[in-house]
Amino acid sequence: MHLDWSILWSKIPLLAGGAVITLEITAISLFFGSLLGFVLAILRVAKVPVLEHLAKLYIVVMRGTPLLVQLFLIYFGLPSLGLDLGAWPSAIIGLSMNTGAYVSEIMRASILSINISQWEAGTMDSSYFETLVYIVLPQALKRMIPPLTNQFIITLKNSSLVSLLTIQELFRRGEQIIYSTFRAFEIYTGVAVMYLIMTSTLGALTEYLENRLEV
Amino acid sequence: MAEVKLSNVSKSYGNVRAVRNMDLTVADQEFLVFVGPSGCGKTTTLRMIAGLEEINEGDIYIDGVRVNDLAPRHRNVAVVFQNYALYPHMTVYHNMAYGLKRRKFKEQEIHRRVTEAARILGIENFLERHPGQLSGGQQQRVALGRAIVRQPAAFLFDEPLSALDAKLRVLMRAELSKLHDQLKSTMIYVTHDQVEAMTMGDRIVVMNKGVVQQVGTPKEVYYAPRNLFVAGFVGSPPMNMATGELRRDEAGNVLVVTQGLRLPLTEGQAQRAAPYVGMSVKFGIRAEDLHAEAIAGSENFPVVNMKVTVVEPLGFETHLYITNDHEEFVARVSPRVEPRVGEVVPFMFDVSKLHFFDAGTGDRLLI
Ligand SMILES: Nc1ncnc2c1ncn2[C@@H]1O[C@H](COP(=O)(O)OP(=O)(O)OP(=O)(O)O)[C@@H](O)[C@H]1O
Ligand SMILES: [Mg+2]
Repeated sequence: MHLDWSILWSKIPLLAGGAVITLEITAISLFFGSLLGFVLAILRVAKVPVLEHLAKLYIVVMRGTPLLVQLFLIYFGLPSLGLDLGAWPSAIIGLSMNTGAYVSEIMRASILSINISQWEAGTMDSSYFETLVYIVLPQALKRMIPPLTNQFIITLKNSSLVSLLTIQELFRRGEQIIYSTFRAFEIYTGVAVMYLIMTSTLGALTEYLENRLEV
Repeated sequence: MAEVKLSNVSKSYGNVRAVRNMDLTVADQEFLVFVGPSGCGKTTTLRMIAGLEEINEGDIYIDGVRVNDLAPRHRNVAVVFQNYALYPHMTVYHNMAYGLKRRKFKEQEIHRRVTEAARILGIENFLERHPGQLSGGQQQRVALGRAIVRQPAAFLFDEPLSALDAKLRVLMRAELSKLHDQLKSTMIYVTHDQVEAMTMGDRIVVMNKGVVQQVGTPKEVYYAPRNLFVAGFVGSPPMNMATGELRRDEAGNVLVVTQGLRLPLTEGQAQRAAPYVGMSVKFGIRAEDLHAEAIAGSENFPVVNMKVTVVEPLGFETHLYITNDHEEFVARVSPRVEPRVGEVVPFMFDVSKLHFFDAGTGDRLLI
């Protein structure tokens, strides 16, 4: 039994193409997921009647069920209700909705961690939302960077699940190469290294951002 | 510049009645100080005026306008918080400018007011720093500056000096008083520091358990405490207290008698005490009214031999803990008086300075 790494080298362009798709799906999902998470967090922090509770319910459901089931419900389940979204929209909607639940909890915790006296000082001079925007969020933002980075990395790794919706991202490309070459160890190692490069780049990027906000 | 009026204001947290039926008018340009023990409702009162706390009952008026339902930012009052609550992500300049910016002041006017306030407070050189780069005393000034630039109808202070060290506190105390003279605005100030209350307040509000005990000038609350609580709370060391009976002797003099003391009252006191003769009363005498050395008029003071149990030399004065085996008192004497512990010293009681209280209700008796 010997390992043949040359196969991996020859397939790198193919895998890299998959990695680009992984990055695309992740980036788009993180964008919408963060947006959703922000809205959910604000609904809960500001205790908006009714919506506050709906947000809570949403989070409980999204956190309490497997991402894979959520993705399959959207991709395979919805068509039976006459809603066939296709692979890419399903993947992005599923990942965004799932990420949004976690992001909202991170944002909410960061916002709530800001001393109440900041709110009070702010409301002596401005409305609730001005206080939120100018006083509380800038401080909360800095605190949410480390846990958000963590969540973004999780989402990036979770994006491998959308391979099951036939999307040609990094993991699926790897699988396909293995079907034809039977070089599971070399190819999976290559796939793992590529994920590692992406996640550590993301980590380094946010660390840099955090330091920039240090002052 | 405004009058602040509380009318029958009450506030409860669950079944804790933090403030009860408060009636109070703070005059325009007055420096009013709230004092009282921890948990008596000082902060709650201040926060109700600021609008940070809803009131359960009653009305608050600022400049004649009922503000019960006005948001804090529309009440035209500025708060200086105990922990300053400076915005850590903004420079000192922007900390001070924030309230004006949100109120849509012109950039030029904001700049003028911020630099003017910074000049008054001596923080011109820190305007570009962040609060985290300032000392506690400097942060305190920024917090003040943030309030000053608003030119509010009233300033509300919640123990603003409590985080400073003793020296700086004394300095800031004087500066705040100066600031009040300069700005001529209404100031409402919460503290549990007696010295702050006595030195800064035009009037003092003494509170206990959510209830106003007395409102008066520092002299009034010190020299004519309205009840036992005020008598015991205001002054350091606290007023000496004893329980006794008012009696008339064969010669017609009125005395207050305890197990260990027989103190004849002055003629004026005797007249005013007439309706209370035969009654048990609480009475008090301040530490400075027990004399170990002769003063003008002390030849008429009753003299009582008291044993010294503790000597506390404070440098500028000495506190003597003294007892006659029945009562224990504190006397404030000149540092020249240097008794040994255990020594028996004759003390002259300035009975004209006695305070009498109803033994049941604790209310001051006009004797
Ligand atoms: N948010 C709150 N929830 C419940 N009880 C409260 C709350 N705030 C204050 N209280 C209670 O109300 C009473 C008055 O509190 P307040 O803070 O006004 O006291 P204070 O006079 O300012 O005391 P201190 O000198 O310790 O600051 C206390 O019994 C306190 O426990
Ligand atoms: Mg307080």
